[in-house]
Amino acid sequence: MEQLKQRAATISVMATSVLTTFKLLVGWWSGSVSVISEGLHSGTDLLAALMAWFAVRQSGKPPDAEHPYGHGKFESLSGAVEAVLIWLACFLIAREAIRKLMHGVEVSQPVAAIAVMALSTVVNFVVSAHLFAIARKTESLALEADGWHLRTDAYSSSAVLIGLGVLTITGWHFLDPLLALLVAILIAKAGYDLLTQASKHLLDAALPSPEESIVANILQQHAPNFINAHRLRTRQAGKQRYIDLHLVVRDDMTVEEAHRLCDEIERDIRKALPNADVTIHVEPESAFKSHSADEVSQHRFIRRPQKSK
Amino acid sequence: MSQGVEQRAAAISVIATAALTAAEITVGIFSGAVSVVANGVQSALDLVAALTAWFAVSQAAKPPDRSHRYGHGKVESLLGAIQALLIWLTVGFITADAVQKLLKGTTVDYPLAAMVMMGISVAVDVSVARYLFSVARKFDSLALEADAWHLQADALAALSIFAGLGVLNLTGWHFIDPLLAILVALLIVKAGFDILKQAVTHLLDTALPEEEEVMIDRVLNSYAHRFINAHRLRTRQAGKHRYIDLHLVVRDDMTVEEAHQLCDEIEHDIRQALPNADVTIHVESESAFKEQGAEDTFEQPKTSSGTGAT
Repeated sequence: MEQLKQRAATISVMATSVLTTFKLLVGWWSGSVSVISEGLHSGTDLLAALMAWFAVRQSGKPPDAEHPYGHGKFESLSGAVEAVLIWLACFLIAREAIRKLMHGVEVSQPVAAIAVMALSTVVNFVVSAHLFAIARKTESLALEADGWHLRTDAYSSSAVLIGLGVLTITGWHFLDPLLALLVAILIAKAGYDLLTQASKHLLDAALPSPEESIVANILQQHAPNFINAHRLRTRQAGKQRYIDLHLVVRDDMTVEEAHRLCDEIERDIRKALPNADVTIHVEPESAFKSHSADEVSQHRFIRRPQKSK
Repeated sequence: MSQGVEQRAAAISVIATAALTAAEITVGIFSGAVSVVANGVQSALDLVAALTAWFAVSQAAKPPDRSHRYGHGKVESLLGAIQALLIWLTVGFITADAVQKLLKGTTVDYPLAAMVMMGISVAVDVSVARYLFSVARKFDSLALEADAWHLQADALAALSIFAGLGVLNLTGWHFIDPLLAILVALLIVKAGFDILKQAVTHLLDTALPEEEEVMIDRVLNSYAHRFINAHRLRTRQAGKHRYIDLHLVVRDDMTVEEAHQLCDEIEHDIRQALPNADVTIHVESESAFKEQGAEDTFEQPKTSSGTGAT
């Protein structure tokens, strides 16, 4: 899994560095300013791809003394930064489009421009599709974000291509910038979605309701063996899910029995939710009854299995 | 009660720094003294610190809710990161302006007005800082104390600009102004870096500083005769909240009640040593620990999470 992610990230770095070099060379050779600026744009893609590459490598590392909960948050942070970069790209595309709408389009080297755009569209499309596929399989936010970044370029390049094509056939100058604006809006939405997702992880937001229901269902199945379950807390970092809860059992249960029960519950949760890290704190009935009142007000008992009376 | 006084102190510091920021930037632009503008940006950084302190003090009571079950401490970290970046951006503009002034040799139009502004800044900074220090000492509030230190440092910067503008007034050396501005810009970049570093540390779930983990170890050691082994200590921080969890191995035949009593005592002692510590202890039986202990220790990843591949 890790190797798959790292390979995808490496492919993205290689593709963007090839594109950057190619565009700059062609731009310099043909003297086309627009191609050179495309090359600079690819340069920022390269930086973003390098960040994703670094994040993927970090997140694959096992927990260590400095990051005892693992390195999943590196992916979340990388996703957030990438989302901001995507917005920056949208802003630049939109500004360029508006400038073109107001001042008209000038294409100095149509052939070179078309060739570069076509290549850039194809490469970015293929690489981003690969990134999306691996991201889905590995729940990698960093790769998904990088995929969206490249998809942004694929869309904007193809918009320019279509615009240029239509321009040569019909002479409609306005189509290219209009398409570019449309692309900018589309991508801004993707950037927003990414940022929401990443900041949820960064802010320790709870797992989505359906996943918490799964945890509640598993607790229900084990309900005959305990008295109460409460203070369920969940959060996510990268693909890693963190779950902790308090389990109330009979006072005279031995630690061995209680631990076996915990192990069973933990195993079932891990089976239902991949990469779940479950920590169960066992409480005796007597302690629970004596402090339950302020615990309720402090932590708002969440989703307590109803059967356990 | 203490909540109210702390909140009021934090609010006063927010208002004072906000007023100073606005006044310094306005007077700086109007008088043509770029060093005063730079000081205004530094005040903006203080405003950030003051807002963060206010947030820390006022949101401390806000309980975890359905969508943020570990509380809201991370909001502080994320805000800190964003604000540090914004302030760096501003510093970039100031520095560009100062360099331009240095090269073109423009003069400060109203050096006296700029001086008066800096004098006011020093007075406000010093008095608010003293007030914050006294409240912080009374309620043992780290957030307010940090805020007070910010203001203290800012007062020093304002004082040196005041002196620099005085020299400018006497000698007519106008290049002093942009030079001071660049100096302040360097200070701000450093301060912004510190804020960003701490925020990112929290956002990435980095472990608590070593000296704090040592304190946890010490508490565990004082109970060592009552358990068999403690392992998989994990710590992280969000805002002022410290999250700590660990596995505790005890005798198989210990009852849950006894084990919980032990946990409660340990948790209590850790909370005493480290403020705002949220401790979750998972009790393991000796037999289970011996069976799977090796794979569950610190250095190795939790292999039980399903993926066999590494």
